[in-house]
Amino acid sequence: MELEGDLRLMDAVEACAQRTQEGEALDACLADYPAEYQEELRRLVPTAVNVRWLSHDPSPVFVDRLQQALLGEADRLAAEHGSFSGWRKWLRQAWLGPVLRAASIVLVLGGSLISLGVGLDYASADSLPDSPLYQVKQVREWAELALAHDDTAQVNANSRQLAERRRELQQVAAAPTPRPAVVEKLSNQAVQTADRLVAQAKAAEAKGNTEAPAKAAATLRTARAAVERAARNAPPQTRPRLEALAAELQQRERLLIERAQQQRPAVRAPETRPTPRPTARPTPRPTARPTSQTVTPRATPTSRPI
Amino acid sequence: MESSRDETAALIRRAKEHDREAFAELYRATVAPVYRYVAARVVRSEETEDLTQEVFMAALRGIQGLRAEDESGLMAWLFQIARYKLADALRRKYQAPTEPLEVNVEPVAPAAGPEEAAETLDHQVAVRTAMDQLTGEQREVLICKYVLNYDNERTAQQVGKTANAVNQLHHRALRSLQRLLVEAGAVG
Repeated sequence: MELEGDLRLMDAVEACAQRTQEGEALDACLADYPAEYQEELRRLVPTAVNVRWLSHDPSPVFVDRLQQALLGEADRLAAEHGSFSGWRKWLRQAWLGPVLRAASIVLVLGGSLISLGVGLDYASADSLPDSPLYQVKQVREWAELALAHDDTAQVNANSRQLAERRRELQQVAAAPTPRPAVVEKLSNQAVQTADRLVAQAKAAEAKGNTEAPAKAAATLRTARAAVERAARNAPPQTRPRLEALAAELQQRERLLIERAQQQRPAVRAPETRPTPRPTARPTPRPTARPTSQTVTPRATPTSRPI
Repeated sequence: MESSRDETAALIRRAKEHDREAFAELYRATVAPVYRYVAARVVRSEETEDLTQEVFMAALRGIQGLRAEDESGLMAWLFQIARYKLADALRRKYQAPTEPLEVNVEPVAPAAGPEEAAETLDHQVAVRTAMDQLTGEQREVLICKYVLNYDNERTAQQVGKTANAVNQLHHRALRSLQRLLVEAGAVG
């Protein structure tokens, strides 16, 4: 059967089903259609009427009863959500404001970037030069140096970085697998940092700041001692470089100490005043205190009558 | 449902904001087709009422998730809920058959006497049983056409087919149903 015929046939089925259900005889309805469709209509129309009989409407009592039940449930749900609905409405209205919307977007983006930065910085704290996150740590250290506004701050920043290189070297040296390339890179960075530290300490000292060189020397001494300990426990692949680094750090430490000694005023022997009138019995008490660092305890009486 | 598209959309929006009167209005506009849709599938009127109530209770609780804003989309959503509820009811019946499936207490066609009434009821059970053996699409088309009185375009929207495809489905569905009824001895 062609589609066009199919369309007409089904229209005829629907029309006859309607008329038959309303009480008209099937033959009377079929008589209105071409003979070629009548056999098919005679089969399909009663079937369609059978389906029509399945349809019945709800009773008004049921409709009212269900409506009451639904309204009760709606009240319960509204009470349940009531505490939130006011906020929700306010937020929706606020969200519609274009200025607030733009501000919200900026805040969300800014917050995301800050969170990302903080997260990356935190994640990079324990990284080593063979990790991609190490660049984040280097950028942070570079920024720290750039933001150091005076000599003391510069010395402090370089001291922290040298301490960080020391910690990294200890971490690498303690690892079960030797990583000579990482040790080499960290050692070079440590030397560069130590050079900057010495230079900044000297500059501070020239300006009369004696605290900065002392701190720099202490940092170098601590770093050197730690590297020496790490070298003793390090595998053969990395031990020579660590020993060399310890020597380089010691050399810079000496630079600071020698300079400090040069700048320190020479200790003059106490002058002995000529006694204008020598007495017959010169006093045995020394006129100048000994320069020795040892302190002699004052003698206490041992035989005291009890 | 007589209201225009905008009015329906406004009612749906208000119902989503827990406006009880808006939901009641939507209910009054849709309860008859939903009831007829369910009644075409189940035998007992009590069960039809229970399932219709389940459909609207689920709709009330889930209306926040309704995306449609027009009457056609609303009805499609309600029929979808009804299909779930019918499937659940059938599953419960087969898992714990506490009562005969064929019980029918609702005489639909006027009957002259007890014998004729019984014959009518048997016939309706046979028709529903045969309907259950059709494909889902065929059954949907027959219900849209003869229970909900939808035209081709509306039926096409409901089943997600073109109007031409609906006509072909319609024809095949009636032929299949007629064959099943003959095999069941329900028609001559």
